[in-house]
Amino acid sequence: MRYLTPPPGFRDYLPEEVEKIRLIEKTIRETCESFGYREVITPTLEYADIILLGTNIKDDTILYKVIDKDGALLSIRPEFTTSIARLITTRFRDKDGPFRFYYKGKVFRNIPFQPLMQKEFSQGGAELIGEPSLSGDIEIIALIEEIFERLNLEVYIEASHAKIIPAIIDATQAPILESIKSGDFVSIRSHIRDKEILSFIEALPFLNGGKEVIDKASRYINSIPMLEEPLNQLSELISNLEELGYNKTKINLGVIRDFEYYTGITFEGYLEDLGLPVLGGGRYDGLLEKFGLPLPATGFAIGVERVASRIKREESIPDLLIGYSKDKFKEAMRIAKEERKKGLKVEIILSDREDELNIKKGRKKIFIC
Amino acid sequence: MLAIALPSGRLMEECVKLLENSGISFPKEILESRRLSGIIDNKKFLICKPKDVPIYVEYGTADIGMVGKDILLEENTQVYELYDLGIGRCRIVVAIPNSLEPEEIFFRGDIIRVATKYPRIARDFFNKRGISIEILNLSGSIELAPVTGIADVIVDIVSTGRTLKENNLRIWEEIAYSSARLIANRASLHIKADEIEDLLNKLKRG
Repeated sequence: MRYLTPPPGFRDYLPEEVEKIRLIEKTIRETCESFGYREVITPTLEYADIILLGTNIKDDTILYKVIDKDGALLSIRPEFTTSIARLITTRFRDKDGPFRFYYKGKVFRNIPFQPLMQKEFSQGGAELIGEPSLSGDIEIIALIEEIFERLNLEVYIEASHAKIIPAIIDATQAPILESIKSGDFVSIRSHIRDKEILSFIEALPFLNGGKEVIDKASRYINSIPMLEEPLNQLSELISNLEELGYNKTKINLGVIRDFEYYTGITFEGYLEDLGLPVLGGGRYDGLLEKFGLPLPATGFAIGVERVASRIKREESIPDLLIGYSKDKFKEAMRIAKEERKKGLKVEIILSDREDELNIKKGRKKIFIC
Repeated sequence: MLAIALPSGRLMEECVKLLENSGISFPKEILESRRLSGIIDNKKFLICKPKDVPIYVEYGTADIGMVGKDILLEENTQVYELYDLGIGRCRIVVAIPNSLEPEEIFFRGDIIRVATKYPRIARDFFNKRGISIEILNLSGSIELAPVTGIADVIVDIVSTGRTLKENNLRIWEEIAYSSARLIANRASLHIKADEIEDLLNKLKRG
């Protein structure tokens, strides 16, 4: 035995925290179901090479790995999308899509420990598979907005497009891939000669807002021709969401998600006073093809505990607290049974004196002696 | 309000000068007392250990920060690097004792012991070269290590080269150039884009 506390990156959750976590999971479940999504459960362990192929994870040390009895290398899931893609390609190969699935559960990542970055955390999310058009992306974002609306939390969704960075790389032919991935705008500057392209890259983190962003960005299409398609898609996305009354989503061309994995609209979501994203996702039309079934797909995942940390909610306490002296146990149990039948939460406590009950939490208290 | 993390120590003075030249006020109480935070013109300044600046920014406690590239390379935090402030210039180098030729150190077949406060940068550099090393993680006065024999070579930052010279060391290879950078939290860049852009433009003009 080493320590009594959990290992770094793992933690216990007490009832008041669990209640918040369960509220978020319930809201995700109910909202997804109201959009016609159905829940799937996938295994906690998958073949490690399937996970690596599906996630585009370069550093395989972030996977927790175990050896199966037959010698196969398995990985504890670091996310759900790969498992769902694998499930579709094996179980729905001959069925017609689109498929709407949601999930929730724990994921595990062996990352260096730091606060707010748990190695074990819960994700809840949905995948829409087999819908190639922008209507799929709009539906997914509408679904997210609806979840946060129901949670009564102000969410900021920042939408971008995975083809923007490849468009820049295509136009410059400069070795800036790694710098872009790490968000190092300083070293990008040193590699690019073309002033127009450079001014676009420098403007990227600040190209955020409504449709006016598209107008601002459009003037760069002359120097970066491949920008046209992603900008058109983003413009259509924002117009549609606005018209439908979904107004938590803005364009932010500075949001750079893994553009080797995503293929279209991408997005991240933030809550006030939390420096890390609470959700992310986008279109990943290339993933299922890797498993032999070329289907377009889009989806999102919400970091449940991060959202839970922002929920303000009264702790749930017993509706009725029954204090009883030593010989009144059966009587207390009988009353409790009756009250529980009515749907109340009842806790019984052995107690010598009535005033001992006062320090316990309960909406109503009775004492039998 | 925009929260700005600055590194304590030598670099802080240069950062403050840079801010003042750009027309951005800095709270007097920080300069005149031991206070580590202060508010002026709707900006909150936090003074942290240089190594901790990217941590404050990554967690969003500070929206932006000023910090050396050497620290960004070493700490591997998820922040946006917006602008080269052009101050705190130095180089990260591998330095070896004057008394030895590189071949005597690197090709003698033994594992080389490297003293450094930049274990990640050092490991990364030697891994790419295919040279087997052992890291000796020290906190300062790195130049002492080869002199005393506790390590064979060092990886450290050099600005003028004087300390190396006076401890009988010389530069073998330059790993990277470093200078202070303006960094930003990813979420702040979305939520406080206007304030950050305004500050960045002032710094660029100043």
